[in-house]
Amino acid sequence: MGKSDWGDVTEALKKVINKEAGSEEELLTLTYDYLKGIANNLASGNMKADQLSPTELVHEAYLKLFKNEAGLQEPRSRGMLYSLSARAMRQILVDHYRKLSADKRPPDSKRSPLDEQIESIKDQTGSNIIDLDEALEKLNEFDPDSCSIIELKFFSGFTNNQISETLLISESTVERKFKSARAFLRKELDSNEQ
Amino acid sequence: MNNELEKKAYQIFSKLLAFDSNERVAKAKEFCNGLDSKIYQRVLEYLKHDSESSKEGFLSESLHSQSSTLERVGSTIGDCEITELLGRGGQGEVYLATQSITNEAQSTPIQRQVALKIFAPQLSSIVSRERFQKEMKALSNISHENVTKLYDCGVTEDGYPYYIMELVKGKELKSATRGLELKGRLQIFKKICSAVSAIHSHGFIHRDLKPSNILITESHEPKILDFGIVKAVSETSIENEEHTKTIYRILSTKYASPEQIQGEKNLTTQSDIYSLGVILYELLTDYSPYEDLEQGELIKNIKSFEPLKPSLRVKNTGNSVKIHDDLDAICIKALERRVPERYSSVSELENDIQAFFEHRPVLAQKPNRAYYFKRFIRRNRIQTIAASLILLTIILGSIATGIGFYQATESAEIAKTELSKSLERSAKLAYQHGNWKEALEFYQKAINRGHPESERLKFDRLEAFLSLDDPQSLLEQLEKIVIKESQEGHALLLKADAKMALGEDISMAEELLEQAQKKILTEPQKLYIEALLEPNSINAIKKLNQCLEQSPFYHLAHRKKLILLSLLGRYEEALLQAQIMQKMFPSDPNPYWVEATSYAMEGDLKGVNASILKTETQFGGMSEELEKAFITLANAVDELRKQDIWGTGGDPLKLAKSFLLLFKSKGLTDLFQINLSNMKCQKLAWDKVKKLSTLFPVAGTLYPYTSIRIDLKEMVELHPISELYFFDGELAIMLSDSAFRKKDKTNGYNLFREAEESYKNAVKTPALFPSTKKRSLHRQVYAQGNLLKLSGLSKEEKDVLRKNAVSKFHKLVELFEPKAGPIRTIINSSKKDYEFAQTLLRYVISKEPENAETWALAADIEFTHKNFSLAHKYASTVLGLTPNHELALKIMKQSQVKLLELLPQNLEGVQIKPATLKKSEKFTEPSSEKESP
Repeated sequence: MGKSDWGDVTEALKKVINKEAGSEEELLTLTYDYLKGIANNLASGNMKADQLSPTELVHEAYLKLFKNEAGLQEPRSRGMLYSLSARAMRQILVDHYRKLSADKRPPDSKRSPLDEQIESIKDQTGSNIIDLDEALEKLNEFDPDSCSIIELKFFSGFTNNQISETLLISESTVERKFKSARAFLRKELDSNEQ
Repeated sequence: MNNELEKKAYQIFSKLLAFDSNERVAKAKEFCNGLDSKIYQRVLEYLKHDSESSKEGFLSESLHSQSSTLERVGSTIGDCEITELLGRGGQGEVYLATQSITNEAQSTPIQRQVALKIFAPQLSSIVSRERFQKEMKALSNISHENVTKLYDCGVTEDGYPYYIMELVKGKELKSATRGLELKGRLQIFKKICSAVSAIHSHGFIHRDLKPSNILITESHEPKILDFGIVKAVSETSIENEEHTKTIYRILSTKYASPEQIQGEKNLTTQSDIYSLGVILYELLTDYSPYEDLEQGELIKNIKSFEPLKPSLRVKNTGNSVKIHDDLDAICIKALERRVPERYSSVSELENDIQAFFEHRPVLAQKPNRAYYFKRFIRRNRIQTIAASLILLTIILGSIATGIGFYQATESAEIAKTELSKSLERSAKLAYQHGNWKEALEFYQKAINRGHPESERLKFDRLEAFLSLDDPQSLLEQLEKIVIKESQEGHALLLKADAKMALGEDISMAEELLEQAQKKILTEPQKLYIEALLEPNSINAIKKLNQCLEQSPFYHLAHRKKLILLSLLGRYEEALLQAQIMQKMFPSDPNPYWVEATSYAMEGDLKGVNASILKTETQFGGMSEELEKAFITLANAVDELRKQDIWGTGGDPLKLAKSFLLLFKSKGLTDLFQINLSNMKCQKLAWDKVKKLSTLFPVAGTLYPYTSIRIDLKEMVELHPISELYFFDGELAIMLSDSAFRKKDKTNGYNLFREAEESYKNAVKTPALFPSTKKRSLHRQVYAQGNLLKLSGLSKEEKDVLRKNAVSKFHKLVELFEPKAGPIRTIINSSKKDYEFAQTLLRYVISKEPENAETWALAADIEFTHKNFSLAHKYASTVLGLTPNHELALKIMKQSQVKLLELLPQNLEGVQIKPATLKKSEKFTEPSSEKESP
């Protein structure tokens, strides 16, 4: 169902694992393209049978990637891909929102799951995705792990346990870092309002 | 407020979250003391935001759960009204719903509470919808008290399959059985088997048996959920089959059978038996059979995986429960990765559990006459023992007054001795398995019973104090008891060990050990003492190995070995030893942090993370600071490695600075102190490890060499370790070099001496990196070789130096068997001293006789010392190995010229082409001397 070539992604992941410069970005772009393909279908609402939740989307990306790469089933590379996919998910939502604001809002009947998620961000945080995105960017500078935790938890629906396995940090650290990230975002978003 | 301040505030705030919420404000004040007041203000703001967001549940639910939950709750599906979301799993969501059913006899509908499960993948065609309903109908025919009753099923308007089932109120298997004893757990397991059997008899395979799919009701009845669903669903929605299966393979591999993990399409009921095996294993041991594997490894290794016997697992984890070998056999047979070897049906498994209860032979045991005999005895003995047990309880309960007292007295005596014996046995077992606390408790009980302590008991108990890092109590106890002559040796050993652990005067401890050697000792004790007295750590380890061969459960010997390996910087071995000890003595924290340290010192971040997780499960984790320390250390080492720390390209100044940075940072200092003080008292060290706080502040300006040396000197007093000495040596050599260039010979020479001294110390002291010692010895030999070259030395001085250098070299060879390449470098720089160079060369030749460079070096040395015919011979050997070897060609030509000059009449054997001769230039040094002192 994806448009992006998975051979490329595998290559890119290998580079990331070998810590080659710029490889992480390359992988993110490729993963993003793939997820974007699915997301576009979600947005247009013409993919009924294959409708996936974000978590499944991320798992799906992982599975696609590792299907024929048994050697790569290391927790480290898996964690890396999950984190990157979660970031891609966030990017997709931001892009979708930008597109929405540029076009006109679609009528209610044609609303897609992505629209609903953007709506629900508004409900939950009282802010739009763009502000949240910017706050997350700032958080990433201060504390990249916390940023990944928010992405995995909020955008991809991972449990603390899954996050702990993905980022290889303890569950209690996940919880603590989540709390500090949350207070940070809360502060950032509040100061935006004023 | 600028970014730096913001960041600082954020960091302080996130540190505060590790404290209890009522301590945070006070701690905030403490942390912000002396900092910009804005930081404190911001930290307080963060604290407020934290408490507000947790009250409001800000960001606590994921986007996904938000959007779809809202859709379902309150809506109606079929005859059900959805009231609440109960849970969400890999395949869908479960809701609480109210169903209205119309009974034919009554006209008014009755309402009942049900559970409604909606699957995530949609159904795509009418055909599959029919099939789904047919499958579900068949499932609803299963009627068994331990299988959740299925009422109805259907497909939602938007195309999701769902089913309605009996609402079960209960706890998940794992939490429900937590406090239960083995027998209770097995009874529940038997019921689970019977339920699975019922599902199988209707032609279904569960495919997803796992503790979270088994609920235990308040009346201790298990209820199985989600049976046969995976199949019914996946077979009906073809497009999603691959998807469901693969997601499934990743998400719940822990309970899946090997054939399931490998993606086998035609699963049999035996696949469920494997899952039951995993569940049984967890019920018996509280651990997964895959405990030692990471998930990624599981998928890779499933074809060759052999679980550890449950009894051994329990033993290793220090649990006092004993698992009978019949249960081992039952569990292993269910977990057989080859399907034909597994139980062929669930009822077989169920029967074996029943057989175990009744002390009958179990199917899983390989038939063997002795086994059946033992079972028979066991079955019949029980009744006779039961009677005496009742008596025993009465006596021990101190209520043996009045009736039957007289008859009971004799039995009571026997019972008392029996009990003491069994307590002693339990204590011994507990001791061997590293449950020292428990061992001490058993001993205490035995003593409380008034049983005169046996000598064996006494000393085991005393050793337990050492294992528990409580040398003080050991010494106090030693004062209190009377020691028989036969035990004096052991007592002295324990006393010495305790004194060492307390960090008291080592020479006194050594004296005690020497006294002990004159007394009666067991063979392992003798070896252990020899190891303690051995000044050379490498030999000490050899002794400890011999000791452990004879006494494999000797914890103190294990621990000494662990510490020595870690101090010597032999991290790979230390790691192995740590992992062995974690299995043997799970309650000893030392192996855990040695493991983390070893990984960190090897720059293995993944390893560090894994051992942090391990500590988490075993001891409830280490402090975040320490986690960070290990992680930072691993990264720093990794970074240093990348800078080619020991390669020729490493800039010693840069490296020395990196090291200084590492050492100036408190984290490593503390870590290292712990490492050293571990010899003294492990318990204190562990506490310290837990309390570590500030780490790796960024510091460092440019130092000239001399001031770095001053820093190094200070540092080395605090931490006498190899690396620091090594760098001092390197810097001294650089300074010496510049002194020579300035023609300041005295100073240059003295500095060179200092360098040699530092290398000597570097060899003697413990190293962080295993290769430092090797390198230090190299450098020492090199420095001595170079000293030989320096003019202004008397012949005697040179002789002493040479002798010294040669003996150092032999030590180097003995300890490390260095590679030929680096030795060649040393030879190259000391080729002016013929004898010394020859010694080294002999070694290189023995190592690499086929290497052209070896012979080129030989030729070069002979040429330098004017042995032209030998030089010619060796050069031709080189050319035989590498035809166009430049240096060899040059030596060949030059030596021919020299030979011609010296002995023109002896030239028949040497062929000279006139053209070559003409071309040969004036003699120049065959190799340029790049290495300067």
